[in-house]
Amino acid sequence: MKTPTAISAFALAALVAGAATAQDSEPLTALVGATVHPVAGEAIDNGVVLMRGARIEAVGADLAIPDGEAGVTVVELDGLHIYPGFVHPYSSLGLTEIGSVSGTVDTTEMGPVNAALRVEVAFNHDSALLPVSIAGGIVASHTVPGGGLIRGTSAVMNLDGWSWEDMTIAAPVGMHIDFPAGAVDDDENDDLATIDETLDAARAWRKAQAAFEAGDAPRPPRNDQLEALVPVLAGDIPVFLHTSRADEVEAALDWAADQELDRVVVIGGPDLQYVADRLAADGVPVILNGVYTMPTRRWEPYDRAYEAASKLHAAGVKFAIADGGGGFNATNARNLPFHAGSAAAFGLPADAALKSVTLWPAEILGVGDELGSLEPGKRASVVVTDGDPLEPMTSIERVWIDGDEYDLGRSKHRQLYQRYRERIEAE
Amino acid sequence: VADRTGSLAEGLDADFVIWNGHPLSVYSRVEQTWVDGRRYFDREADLAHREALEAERQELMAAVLAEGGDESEGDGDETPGDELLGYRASELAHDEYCYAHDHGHLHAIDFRNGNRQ
Repeated sequence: MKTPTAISAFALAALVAGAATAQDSEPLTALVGATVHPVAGEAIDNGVVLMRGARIEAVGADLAIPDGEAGVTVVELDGLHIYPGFVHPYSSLGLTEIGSVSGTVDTTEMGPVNAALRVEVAFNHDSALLPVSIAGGIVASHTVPGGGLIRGTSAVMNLDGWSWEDMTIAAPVGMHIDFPAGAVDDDENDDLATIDETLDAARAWRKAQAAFEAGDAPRPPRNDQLEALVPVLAGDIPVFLHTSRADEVEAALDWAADQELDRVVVIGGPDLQYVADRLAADGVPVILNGVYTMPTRRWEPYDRAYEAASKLHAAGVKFAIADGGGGFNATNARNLPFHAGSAAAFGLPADAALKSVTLWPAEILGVGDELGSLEPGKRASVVVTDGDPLEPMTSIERVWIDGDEYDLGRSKHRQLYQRYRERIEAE
Repeated sequence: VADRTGSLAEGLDADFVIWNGHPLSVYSRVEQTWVDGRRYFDREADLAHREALEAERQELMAAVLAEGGDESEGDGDETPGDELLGYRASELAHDEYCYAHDHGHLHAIDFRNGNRQ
């Protein structure tokens, strides 16, 4: 099959850019007729998204489509809108099924130090929550382990697939540390001491291992926990610091500086806005966990949490918005876009709200070349809607993941909708 | 209760909300809420009142800090400003904002772990 001929300079450039990952032998799907919202760039009326195999090949207004050739599928989407799939920045999707049935909850490991934990191997590819989330427009999840002080490594997971291996988009994404609230005004906090001692031991282990590799010393005893921390010490992966109140964020940043941890991401609540200037100055990205929450102090106005995202944005902090659920609320992961939209009702520009659940989480999580926008070379994971995807009133009509159309009928919610609709119609 | 509420019609209770957009839109905000003809919430008034509330809070804190600043008083366990909290024991049991007690428990809102008691 021959490469489609591009008729505009933009499209030609896009095709060249996409050529490195596209295989000409793979099937081509052209989504046509819709308004295309690349997120990275202006919306394109009556645009085209070309998907070759699992990747986006080109996005533009005037793309030639080799219609009628074998292996080419043209999908008419007149009047609809195409967006990149949402990237959930912080969830326990794949680790939990029914919160009240403990046998189905695998979010929380025992013990204070679980550095060697790799969340992707615990990911349940067959979770019924995944189709529900996909029907809400979410195509990938940053799934994060809970439990303990050093919680282990997180992963960005594709929500569609047959095994955890083929669903792992990136792992390890980062090492998660629950910054102890008690360490804020206590230099001798036991929990922080445990974390410090573990990091010191990891440094020593790393040094001993380097000496062994250089032939200068015997092999140090195998230690999975310490070995798992080496990429953090080397700056290969960031450390994600879990915080809640503003003073904890400040203390966590001070601590990370003392520990010479250069790559830090902070996960926190609305209090992040009080630390916005410092976060911006230090170039620390954050995951704002939830928008639609109560104020955390009696004297705060009712919309303090709703405004947090706009305050972070105004200060120049790079941020992603999560659904407020974190480790325990995967069933509501599908509400992610509504949290971003709520922030837009209280000062966040609408385009920033969209980016906070697409491009920005992808970039913060190190998968900015895979997900988050409609650009050549990225995964062909796209969502087709009848309107603004942050609006609860908008219907998600179709979803493609890695170039394959996903059967939204797999969502339990849609099955129940259909079932009771049929009952009403039968009466 | 459709003869009392649920629609805007003559003779029904004066319960209504003024929005700045479609009430089901995520981009919309409530501007005013009226119940039985009484204005319960007014965003403009709420915004206007915030400055005064904050000023009053700062004033109270300054007064308490000035009063409690002498370390020779008390047994030394209190930190300046503790009195400001002014909570009675019965209130501490309902200190949902966790401002006046220790932190060895999960919160109703815990941004590490999500909304779970």
